Amino acid sequence: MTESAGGKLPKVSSTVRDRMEPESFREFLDTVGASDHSAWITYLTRFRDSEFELIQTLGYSLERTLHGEQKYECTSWPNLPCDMEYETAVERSVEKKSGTRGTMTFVTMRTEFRTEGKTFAKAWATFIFI
Amino acid sequence: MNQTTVPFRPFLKVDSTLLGRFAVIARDPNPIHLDAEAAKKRGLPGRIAHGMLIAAALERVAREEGAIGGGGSAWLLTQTEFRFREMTLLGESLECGGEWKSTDPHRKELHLIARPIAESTGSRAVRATAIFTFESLKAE
Repeated sequence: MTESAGGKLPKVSSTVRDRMEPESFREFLDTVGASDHSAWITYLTRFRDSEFELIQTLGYSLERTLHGEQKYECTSWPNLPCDMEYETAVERSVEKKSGTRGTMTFVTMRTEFRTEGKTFAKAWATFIFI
Repeated sequence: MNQTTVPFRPFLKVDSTLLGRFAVIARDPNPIHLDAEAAKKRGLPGRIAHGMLIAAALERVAREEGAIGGGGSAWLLTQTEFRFREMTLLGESLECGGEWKSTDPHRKELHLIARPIAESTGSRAVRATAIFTFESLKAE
């Protein structure tokens, strides 16, 4: 069974700033076996504080969160170290699906990644709350 | 449309050490990845892999394939899409394969699917699919 949750989500967004250091970037790539220093898209798959904040704002918790469909676009590759800004907003209405594991709620968030005022990447993440 | 097959090959073994390390670096300490009892309380059969761990490992494969099939650094990975079909359990080993698709000399897509290696699990259902878009560097 699939049904729309109905109604509209509150207009919520969150912006956080972060300092990107080469060491943390390299540690992430090493763990997943990547060797290409330009592997920015891989690095962008990390959870962001802005997403944590929105998950809490919507009344969910990380313990009940699974990753669904994910999409990333990268148009340039900043040099490290650099100061970055992430802005995340809820993009798609909540949809509830009932299945063998009970009711799951789907929420899609869109994040823009900026450095020096310019957007260099975008991400769309669908979270499934179980 | 030009299409080239990418043979299946192993790319990820999901063990406890890897899940623990990935939880830290990916900032995803969700207990369903780290604690079997917590996972079972959520209705899962046991600890499961982070979806983004599979995504990152698939992207590593895509970059390797892109370098082989696309003329090295002349191609840039500009877009990725992942869909997670089934949960990947602790202890499973995954393989991936797929095909290149190209309709434009400056743009090509690598379509990959990830599934368990036969001997590592009871189910070989596809765990994830991914599309990687590469664009060629154009002369200014």
